[in-house]
Amino acid sequence: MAVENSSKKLLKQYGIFTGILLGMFALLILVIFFSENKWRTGLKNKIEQVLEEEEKPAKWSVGDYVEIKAPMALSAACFQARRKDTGAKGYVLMLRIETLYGPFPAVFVYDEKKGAQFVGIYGLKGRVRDIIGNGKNDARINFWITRIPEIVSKTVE
Amino acid sequence: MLIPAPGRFACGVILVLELNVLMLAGTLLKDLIKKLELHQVGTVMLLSMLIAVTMLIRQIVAFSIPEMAIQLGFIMYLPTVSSFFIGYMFGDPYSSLRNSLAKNMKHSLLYSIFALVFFLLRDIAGFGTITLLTNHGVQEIVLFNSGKIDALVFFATIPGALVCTAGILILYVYVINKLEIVKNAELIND
Repeated sequence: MAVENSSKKLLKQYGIFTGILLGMFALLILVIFFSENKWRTGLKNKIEQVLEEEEKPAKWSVGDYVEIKAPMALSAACFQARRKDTGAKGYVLMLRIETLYGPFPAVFVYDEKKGAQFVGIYGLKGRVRDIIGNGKNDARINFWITRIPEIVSKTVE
Repeated sequence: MLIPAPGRFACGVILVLELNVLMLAGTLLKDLIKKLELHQVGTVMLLSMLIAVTMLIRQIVAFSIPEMAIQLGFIMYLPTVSSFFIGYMFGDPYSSLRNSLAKNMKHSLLYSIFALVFFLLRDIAGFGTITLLTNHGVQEIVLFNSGKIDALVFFATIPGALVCTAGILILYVYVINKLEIVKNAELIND
């Protein structure tokens, strides 16, 4: 009898534990599912804002979201892009880059002829932005410039 | 949590909110585990739920301020694994819910004030800006441009954050010691 009671108690405990855990993860999956579009449109707007502010006026028009088949899902986003003057196809990316001043969301454009180019950083103006400049002397930005062709090759359109 | 995060006030607000939500959820969950007598699976359940809450907060940030989710990245997991937070989750198992909530939330809010001052100081002195959270995402107000007190840019860097933390801690200990002296003097006078 004592063993039966103990088993029932354990079963109840693990049942509650599994129930709460499954409930929480179900909620999480629902939030992820319903927030995906908002995440993409939000980032697209921010990228367009950076292109407009840095290129004055923007040379690229941002298109559809392109999925990156890599485990860094929330640290990078890639969109199709077209040059407004020539209509050439390319990509525009927002990546989390580590700088001496902490991490920042940086915007890069990529086309097969010119390769990857640094455009700017969202939400960074003032003197730190002036120090970073066009990013040519920044080793971390140059690292990402060399990595972008590899990232773009892992995209699924 | 304070050092690797960018020294922007808006980032500080997000991290501080996350810490307080985690503290509230963790304290309530700890009490639920105690009431349901889930002693054997309690620790695993608490940790799994706290990670799930962190992921949920991160997802909320991802769709409401997507650029912030990209910027903060793994930093959003740091409050969950910080010694400050873990200490409250696994200390004093016999305290009542009311007492635990009052104590944990009070300490969490005091730490939040310290953290917000820290982020604000780095934002103003280091970056020469103030960043605020608005309906349209992060709004940045530039206070000082290049050429004006440029040496203070050091406080925007990661080593600058370390120096800044040390400075605030020295000030905090100094003030606490002075208050203690005043308190002791009053006790002697009484």
